[in-house]
Amino acid sequence: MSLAEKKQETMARHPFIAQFIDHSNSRDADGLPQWWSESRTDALQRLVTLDVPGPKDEEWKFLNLKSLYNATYLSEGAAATEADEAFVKERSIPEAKAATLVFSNGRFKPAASNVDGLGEGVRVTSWSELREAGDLDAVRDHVGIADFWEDDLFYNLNGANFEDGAVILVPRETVVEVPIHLLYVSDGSGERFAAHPRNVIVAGENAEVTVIEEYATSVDGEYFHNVVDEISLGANAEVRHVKVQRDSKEAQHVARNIITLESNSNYEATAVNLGAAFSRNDSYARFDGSSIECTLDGLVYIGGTQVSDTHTAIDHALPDSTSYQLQKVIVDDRAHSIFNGKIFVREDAQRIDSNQLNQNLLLSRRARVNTKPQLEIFADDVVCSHGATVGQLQDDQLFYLMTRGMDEERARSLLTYAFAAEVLEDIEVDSLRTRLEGLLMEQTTRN
Amino acid sequence: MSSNIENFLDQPYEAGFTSDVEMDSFEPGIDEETIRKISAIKDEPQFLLDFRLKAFEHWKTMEEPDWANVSYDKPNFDDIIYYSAPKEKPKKDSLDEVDPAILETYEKLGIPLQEQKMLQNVAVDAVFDSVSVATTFKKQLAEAGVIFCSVNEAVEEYPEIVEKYLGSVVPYTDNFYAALNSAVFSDGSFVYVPKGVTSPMELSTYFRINTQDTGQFERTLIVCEEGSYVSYLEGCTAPQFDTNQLHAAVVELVALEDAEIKYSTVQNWYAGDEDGKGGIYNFVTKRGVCEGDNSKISWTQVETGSAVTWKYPSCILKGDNSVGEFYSVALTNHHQQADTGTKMVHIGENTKSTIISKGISAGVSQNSYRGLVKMMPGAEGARNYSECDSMLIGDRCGAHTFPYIDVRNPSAQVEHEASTSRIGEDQMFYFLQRGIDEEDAISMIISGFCKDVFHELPMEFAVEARKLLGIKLEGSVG
Repeated sequence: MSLAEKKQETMARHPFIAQFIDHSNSRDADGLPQWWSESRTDALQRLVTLDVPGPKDEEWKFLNLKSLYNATYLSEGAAATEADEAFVKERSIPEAKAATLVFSNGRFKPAASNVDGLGEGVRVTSWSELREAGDLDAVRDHVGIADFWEDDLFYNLNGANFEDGAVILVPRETVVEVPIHLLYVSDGSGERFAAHPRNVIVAGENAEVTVIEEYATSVDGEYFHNVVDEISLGANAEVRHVKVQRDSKEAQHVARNIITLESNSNYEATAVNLGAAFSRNDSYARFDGSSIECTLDGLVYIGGTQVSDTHTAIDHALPDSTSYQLQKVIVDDRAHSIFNGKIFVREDAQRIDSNQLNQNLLLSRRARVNTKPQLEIFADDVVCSHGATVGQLQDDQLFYLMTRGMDEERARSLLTYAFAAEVLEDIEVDSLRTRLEGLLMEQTTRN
Repeated sequence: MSSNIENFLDQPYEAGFTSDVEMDSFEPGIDEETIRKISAIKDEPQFLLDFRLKAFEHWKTMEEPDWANVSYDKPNFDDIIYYSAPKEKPKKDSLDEVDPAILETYEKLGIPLQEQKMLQNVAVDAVFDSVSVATTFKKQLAEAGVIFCSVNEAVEEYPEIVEKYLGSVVPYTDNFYAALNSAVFSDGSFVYVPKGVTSPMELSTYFRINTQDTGQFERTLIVCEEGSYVSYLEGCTAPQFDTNQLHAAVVELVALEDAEIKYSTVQNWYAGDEDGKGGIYNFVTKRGVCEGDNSKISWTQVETGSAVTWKYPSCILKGDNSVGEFYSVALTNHHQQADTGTKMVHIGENTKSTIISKGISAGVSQNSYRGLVKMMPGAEGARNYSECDSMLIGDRCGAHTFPYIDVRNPSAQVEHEASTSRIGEDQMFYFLQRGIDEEDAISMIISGFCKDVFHELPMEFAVEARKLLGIKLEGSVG
């Protein structure tokens, strides 16, 4: 069957996929380096063979994605807007003043961004800027770094469509002192659009960098963010990565994070998911060396009819490494949270220390939690454990606070706040942590 | 010693193996006619034939499941003989005719002489004749009003109970193997405990005459009326050979108000040889429903045999304050694969469940725990505690945990924890330098690891099971 025929067939079966094939085909291929157009073609070829995942697929259990699949989207290029200046200012992070990249509806906005004096050889830029400068080869070796999601629909939708996103290259022996802020602002007032950012973060040997990746909405509305992050850590490198997802509560947010780690590197991630009608966050960390430390923490706080799904896979392919994971979830109203944390310890990957904890707090009678912590272990000299709890606030804790004169409402909000705040404690950017804590306090008191 | 055991374990299907087709066997293969014939031979009432046919119709539309963490050659359902009349095993005159290696295993397990004879089908003296033992038991049970017989007998004698409960817990639509079982099940056990009766003894499949040969498609139904209690033992620690490769049993338990059922299993079927050749496929659907308030169902299993195990004894906790328990030891060695666990579905208020699972993998085996804890919106104040521990022996085996937790009630509390560990060289050294040999050392470490589960087993079972694990792991460490 020719590609055109296959496309016809896919079109008939899955208009959702077909529209993104169309988007891809209408993208400007002028001056695209060969490696990029090849990877685009690869993704397109896989797309025509794929089905939309649904509740029957183990990785997509419990999800009803009809509202995502049944919608039509404009390509982000057709939904271009300028970023709301006041809004950008409000969301800016003082520590990152000299290292902020602003994207509006998925497109880089140089005028709203500011990158200054980050040190020699450090590049904090975007795909569109690199393309304009004819310098795309700088990023070439850092895309397509793992084939974990080769058959994943959303990864390939991004592969066929991405045109923009952040590129952060920190050369070896370089420490970036200030945090880098990626601010994705969306304006949902126009027609429904889909954006496919591709963020690349590379820390060379002994390099150190902090990245804050934030999704925010200046005007609520329906749109679809389909993000892929590719993060590579060289030997002894250190990357702290905070993701804050506050997309519109009518929007859809899907993200795939790929992390590859070399010996002695240290990756610390905190993912805070508050927004979107439906959000799905997958992370895959591959250990390519030994003595690596990897932390994947997360906080999900949702209400209304929000659905949030987090899947993580920590892949200990080689011996002598450590991983930690703390995933805290609060669900209110009719919200539904799903968590699946996989820890693989491959054959001969001895002396692995891996610890995972998932705690869920249900605030409402109609909220729902699904969790599946999953261990797959093929080596014997390891210390691996996981725990999961689901429940409501403990009566004795409430009682204790109330004996101290606090009313029940106040006691509840304080305990809820404390439950969630543990995840935020490790965020080292003060203004961001304070802001998130404030947000949390506001949300817990509102209940 | 251990080579003896190995030799013994390597023996392919010695017991009762015959190659010539029995007079009363069907041709291999399955169609509606096969099912009608099975039903006709057993002279079954219409409702049962209808049940079988509906199950068969449904089975045809289903596909063999492949979600479990096991890989094996799918059985060819046209090669299976779906009915053969119960065979008379050749009688032996004394234990001297039995392979000394087998006797040695019995010795180690501490199986009493009389039981050894029974297992090996040796003619026993009049007093201990299994028939008379069973008769005595039957009398006692009858006095208490407990019905314990084969399903076939029950269909004849108590059709209304069978009709009411058969398929009520595991409907024929439940899954591929349950559907197949519903269509072609041969026989099995039936237990009925009337209102307020505590069964005067533990019921064991040992003592059900003529049915010591576990059928390929066995079906067990246990009904406990209001306020009654029964403890049921299935299987035995002695190694069992069987000519059937595929076993697809269904077990249904019904506990009404205030009733309690305790179901214990020790499974030690042929696991295939060291290279993973042969062995039984054990695809079992076991489920109990706590229908009434304050009822309780407790599953305890020690799984050591079979090449591939696919088994999830479950509890549906419908009645308020009902309790479900699952205690499991699953041991895999060589090329064995086990995917086992439980489902606890909390429907009623203040329902409680406990899951304790101990997985031990050795050799190149794969051992998976797969469990579901579901809190339905009405499960006010429900509680679950799960603990899944894995032990790895050697660095070529795998241990996997797939716990699914689904909570829809904020007042329900669910706690799950899992860990992995191993038998360390230092631990072994410690034992050896105190003059305790390897075999005993492993046995002790494993006993400690599995303590919480063994506590739940009836006494004799517990003692044997402890030894059994030691034997199964011989030569795996060090």
